[in-house]
Amino acid sequence: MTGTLYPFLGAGQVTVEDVTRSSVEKAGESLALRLRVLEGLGPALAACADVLAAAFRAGGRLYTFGNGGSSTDAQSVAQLFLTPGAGGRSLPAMSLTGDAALLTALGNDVDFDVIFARQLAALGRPGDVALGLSTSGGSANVLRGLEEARRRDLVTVGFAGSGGGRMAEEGLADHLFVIPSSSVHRVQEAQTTACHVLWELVQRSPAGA
Amino acid sequence: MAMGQQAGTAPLDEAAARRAGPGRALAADAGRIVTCALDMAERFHRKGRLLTFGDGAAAADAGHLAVEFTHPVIVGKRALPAISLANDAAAVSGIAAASGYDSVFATQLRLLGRPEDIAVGFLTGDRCGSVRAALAAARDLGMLTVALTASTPAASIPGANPLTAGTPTASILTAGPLTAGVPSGGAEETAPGGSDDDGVGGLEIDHVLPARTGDPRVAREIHVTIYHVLWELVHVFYEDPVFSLTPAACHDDGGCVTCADTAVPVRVTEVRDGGLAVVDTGSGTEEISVALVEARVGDVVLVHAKEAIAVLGGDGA
Repeated sequence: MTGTLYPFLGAGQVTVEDVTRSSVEKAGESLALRLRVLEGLGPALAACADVLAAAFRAGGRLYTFGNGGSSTDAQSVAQLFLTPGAGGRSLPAMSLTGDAALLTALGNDVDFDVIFARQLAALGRPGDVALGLSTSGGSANVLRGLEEARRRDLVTVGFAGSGGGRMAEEGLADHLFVIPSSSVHRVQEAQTTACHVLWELVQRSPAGA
Repeated sequence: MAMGQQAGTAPLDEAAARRAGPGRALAADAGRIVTCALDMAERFHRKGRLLTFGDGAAAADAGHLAVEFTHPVIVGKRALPAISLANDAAAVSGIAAASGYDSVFATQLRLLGRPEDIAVGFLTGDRCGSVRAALAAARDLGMLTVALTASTPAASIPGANPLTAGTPTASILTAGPLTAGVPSGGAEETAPGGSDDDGVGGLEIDHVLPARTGDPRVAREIHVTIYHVLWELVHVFYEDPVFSLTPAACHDDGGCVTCADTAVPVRVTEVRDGGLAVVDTGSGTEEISVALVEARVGDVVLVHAKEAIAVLGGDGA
């Protein structure tokens, strides 16, 4: 029901003004969370950026992955590194979420939990970077991917929401960024900003020069 | 350039500052998202579907937006039909190879789309020919058209290039909310009077949802919030029985040219001064605006919200 999203609904009282006010609040929450994340996680993003810049300089590749909306976010992160447009340096990056033949083959024939781990096992080399996105921090296939990446000496980067879930508990990411929100949507929005700023910092990093 | 060597938190402060203005501007634009969601809910009630499209990172956003509707993250929310036209590499590259890249979405949209559908395109850069063509095609078909836009080209915005970013950009908050319903997009920091720099460049769009920044990364971030809020609001309107989707004064079955949020073909019977015309709707006559088209008596025009948006047939057609 709409009650969970909009508690004021249901009594025949809804107005465009109510809904607009609520939307203004959500936009405000989104911005506040983004700024809080940059303040709280900024130094760690900068440290991660230096590691990534060094990895790229040494010939490393970036692999990104996630489920659902996070699968598209993984694609946009890879696209940003690969073809950043004016003023940016193109860096080797690909998402592991775009190949329907591979994903359906692995999901159908083996197990959905291995769809990223298998690709990383095939493609990953020591010094590459694996970047997993999960709003819950508990997506089994993302966690398996990070595990496989670590086993193969890739740098592991994890983005999660709320408490960080198993991704945080099991310490699967060398660089872990937990967005402090329980809203999937606000988490994704702040993750987008964090990934963009990570890219900005990689582009500026002296380690990548 | 000096920023690259500068240690400490200056780049982070600058990154935060670059996001504050557009983020606050989004709150000021909330009313646009609300009215768009209301129209979208009405389309879904008519069994319309959502078709999304964009280039580059916005192709990923098109997929993200579609999956929000088809597989809601909030348990218990109804799944609503949505398709991204940017997902299928065989379709996209096949059309691009045969007809040029600008056709990739318009071709799919013409084949798959129906008049009751909703077309949402991401107009994020200066090379969005494919998105523009699809929005124009959607408009011709009578779909509800929605554009998520960004402001000026990134290259001209200080700070948009991280390699040369310096001090935080000036606030983008100087512009207030634009006139509702006018498809003018992002008349913002550089062009408060609107111009070809409004993000839609003369396209007729039912709902323009602007990110008021020329930084493509920040614009994407604003777009993500826009489509999340849009999804929520569509459900608010779609599900709430007390929210009337049609004006109470008109109990017409949907053919009323004034009330119906659908494009209706009608025949012009009289052209009047001031860009007005009288048309035969099949069940009576109404006065509409023909200011946007060259309409003559006898023409069949497509009317949306009392505005003729296209001439379908000439004299006596």
